[in-house]
Amino acid sequence: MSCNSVKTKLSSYVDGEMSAAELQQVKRHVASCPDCYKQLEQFRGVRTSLRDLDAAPEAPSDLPDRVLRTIKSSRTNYFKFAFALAVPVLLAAMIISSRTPKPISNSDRDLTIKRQLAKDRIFDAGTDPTSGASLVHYTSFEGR
Amino acid sequence: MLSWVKNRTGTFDRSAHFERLMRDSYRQAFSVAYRLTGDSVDAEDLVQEAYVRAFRFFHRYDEKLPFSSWMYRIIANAHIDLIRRRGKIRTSSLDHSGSDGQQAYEVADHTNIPGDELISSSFSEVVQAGLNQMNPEFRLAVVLADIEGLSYEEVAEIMETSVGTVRSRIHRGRVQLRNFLLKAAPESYGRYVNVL
Repeated sequence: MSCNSVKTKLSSYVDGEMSAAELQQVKRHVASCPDCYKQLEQFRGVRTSLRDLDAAPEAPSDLPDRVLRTIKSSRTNYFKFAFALAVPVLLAAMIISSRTPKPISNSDRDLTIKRQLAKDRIFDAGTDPTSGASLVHYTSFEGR
Repeated sequence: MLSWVKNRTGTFDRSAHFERLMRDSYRQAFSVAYRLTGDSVDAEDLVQEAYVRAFRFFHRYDEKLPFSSWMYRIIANAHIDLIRRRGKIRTSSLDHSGSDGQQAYEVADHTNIPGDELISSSFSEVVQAGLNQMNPEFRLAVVLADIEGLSYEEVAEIMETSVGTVRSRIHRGRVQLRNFLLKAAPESYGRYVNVL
């Protein structure tokens, strides 16, 4: 095993996070290589430094209550936001719906045509064949 | 305290369950948050943010995973978001390299501080300063493995990555910390090393 290959494995070796075969290979190499041994010791020193760190400061005892208040407040805010969003959306939907023409049923359509026909006027125009006077006769489609 | 939610829907039980888990785990969560941020106030903010997220997504929590592991994952993500929000910039003197595609978002760069400037600090403070400078992903892997004592497999599960990537992150994190300690506190560090 080359030095380069061993050096990338020294950290895992310190933690014992490798196969038994690899562990033996690294162990053999380190025993005969002062440079890799030095690096191994440095990694061990780093790990021990971290494990010997002074304890982190104590968490404030009221932290859970503050978290719960934040959760409660964020839920309230969520509902307020949802309500604030829902009101204009509903209003807009109502306005759009009132402006959209409703579909006309068949019976309504027939009635409309009938009324229109009653209103529409037609006339016959021409000259009276006996007197020669002009003649206009108004009528409607219904009257015909 | 979460009793404003009615029990009829079962939500109350879920909230009470969450509250119990939170009260059992917040000290450990704070400790990890402190190691990641290096500051008590930031750690409190991070823990609060993480628990609020955890409550929001509590329905996704898989009981097969220890709650603390799930919280570590959320804390880690919240921490990365916190760093991004604060717009921390990449420092240039650290041993960055992207073999596993990592980006670095760092706090101030202290690697050029001569050793005697840190002489008044305890060695623990120097080590914490070294942690603060690590790439966040390396830092998380190192904190979980070396301080929390988790196995590489557990770290991989929390970081949602492979054991190989965890191995690489821990190695690179330790290299960064070793280089920092050799510069910042060679004498104190030397006491932990047979051959310096």
